[in-house]
Amino acid sequence: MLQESVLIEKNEEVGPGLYYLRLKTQDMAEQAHPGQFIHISLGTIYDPLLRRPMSILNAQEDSLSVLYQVVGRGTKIMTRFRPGDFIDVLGPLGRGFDLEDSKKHLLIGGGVGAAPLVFLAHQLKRKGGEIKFFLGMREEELIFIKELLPPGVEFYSSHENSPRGEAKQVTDLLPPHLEQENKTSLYCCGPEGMYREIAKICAECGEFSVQVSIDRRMGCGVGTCLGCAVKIKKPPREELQIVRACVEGPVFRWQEVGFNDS
Amino acid sequence: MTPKLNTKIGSLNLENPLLTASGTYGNGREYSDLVDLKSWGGLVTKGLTLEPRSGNKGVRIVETPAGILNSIGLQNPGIEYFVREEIPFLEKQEIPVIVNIAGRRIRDYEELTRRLDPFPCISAFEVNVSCPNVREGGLAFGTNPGLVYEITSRLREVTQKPLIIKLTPNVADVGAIAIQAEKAGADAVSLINTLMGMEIDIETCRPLLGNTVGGLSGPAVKPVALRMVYQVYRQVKIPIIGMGGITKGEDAVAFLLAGARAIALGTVNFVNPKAPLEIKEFIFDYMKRHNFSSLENMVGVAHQEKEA
Repeated sequence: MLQESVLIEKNEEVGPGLYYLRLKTQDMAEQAHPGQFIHISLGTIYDPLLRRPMSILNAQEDSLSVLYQVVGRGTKIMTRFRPGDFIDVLGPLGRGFDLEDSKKHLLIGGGVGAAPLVFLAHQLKRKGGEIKFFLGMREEELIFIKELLPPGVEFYSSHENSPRGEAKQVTDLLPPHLEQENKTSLYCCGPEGMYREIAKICAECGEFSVQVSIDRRMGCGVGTCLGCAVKIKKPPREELQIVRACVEGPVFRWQEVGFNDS
Repeated sequence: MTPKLNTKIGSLNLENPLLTASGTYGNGREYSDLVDLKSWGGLVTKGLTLEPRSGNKGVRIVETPAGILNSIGLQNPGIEYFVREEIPFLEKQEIPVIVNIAGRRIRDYEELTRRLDPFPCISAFEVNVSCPNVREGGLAFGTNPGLVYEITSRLREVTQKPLIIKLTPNVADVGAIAIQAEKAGADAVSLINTLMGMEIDIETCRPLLGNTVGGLSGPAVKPVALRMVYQVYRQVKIPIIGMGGITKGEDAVAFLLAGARAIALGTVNFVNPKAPLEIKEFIFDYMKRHNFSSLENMVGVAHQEKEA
């Protein structure tokens, strides 16, 4: 974990209320792993008080990027970050995705939450295996994500508000790709309802490795405040444990967290 | 002149007045990449109970204007785990360790103290009679002067180590509680714990925190905390550990001037992990600027009559 004052290289609107922020930081970029996050100081000392946790969209050489949606005061303040400014960043934090030794990797993202799967696609590419990227969006607002993927990744998208007869939910796209004979791994990032739906479809098709990234309100981001508690049950003992999304997560195995009520 | 930052809480010597506020620093591991634990005067550990506690359900932390509301609910792994897993780590740290204890009944506090007392790495106990987030988290004790007297005197029989009673601000007269702690043999009082508050999610039309209410901390509570430290300083002779919203060096100095002999940093750790280093440097420079050769000379100065 590092705490650094980092240079803002880019902060631009890439969709309605959707921003791409790129930071220059070689050390954090080198340490970063897909599924991890950084904790960004807004530069306001008293109010808003807390840092903002942001999933890492990608890390390349000496830069690290995030994608954020303006949802409240904090993200509104972030839109005013200008290239050339410095911001205080803590990271990389948390436990990311395990890169599985599979012949086939299915990356499934719902909305802006899909961001860390971009970084994951780049890392999996080095490892080998077939990579398919599934993105669920309302209309076409996240289509630029396709351009951020490495070459050779198959891209599929669903459109909730599509007037045409296409898939409306990202989970509608999955069944033909879930073949049991190939060892297939799933990596999911989005709302928890989407994970539930994915788990249901998987259960009908066989056994798969399913990893999900869990979203919680965070305070410290490093494991001391215990604000982002997640209940897990680890096989084989299935003993209930309370862990921290910011340290033991945010990525968990679905079989560990799936028992929780929605 | 090189100002001396060391201070004393009962028989406990601290190299500098900065302590971690319980529940904001784990047991010292999490920030070790960023801050040398030895930069602190002492480490106050996360509230410990006899049995493991899983904490509260639902949303546990909410940002509020210049502050946060939390309702963690004393989540901790219990004394057995603490002794097995944390004590060996704490033994290796070259820093005074103050263990924060909480219980449901007075005999829980007694048993915790009795079992922890033999460990040389534990320098003192902070007795949490002020957690607002669990029904039996001590707040029932902390708001009742008679019970504070009783719990303090019973623990006094169990340990010779410094006993620090952590007071709640959720009372009409905090001084009356502090007086009872002093009478019963406490070595110090620490204040304030969080102020009880709540937030409502206007979209779901329901309380935001899973526990409905929570404890407010951060810069928003500083003036309240400072007032209470100032007030209690006039009512007891035992040392005060001041805390509540300390964010910058100026805040820390104000608490010392109000009468705190040591201060604890809590919420600020979440915001700026390097705060203890910056605050320590500020205090040092301030003392030089104002010709305070030792911290002792500075404590409670705000109470002196103004020179004509």
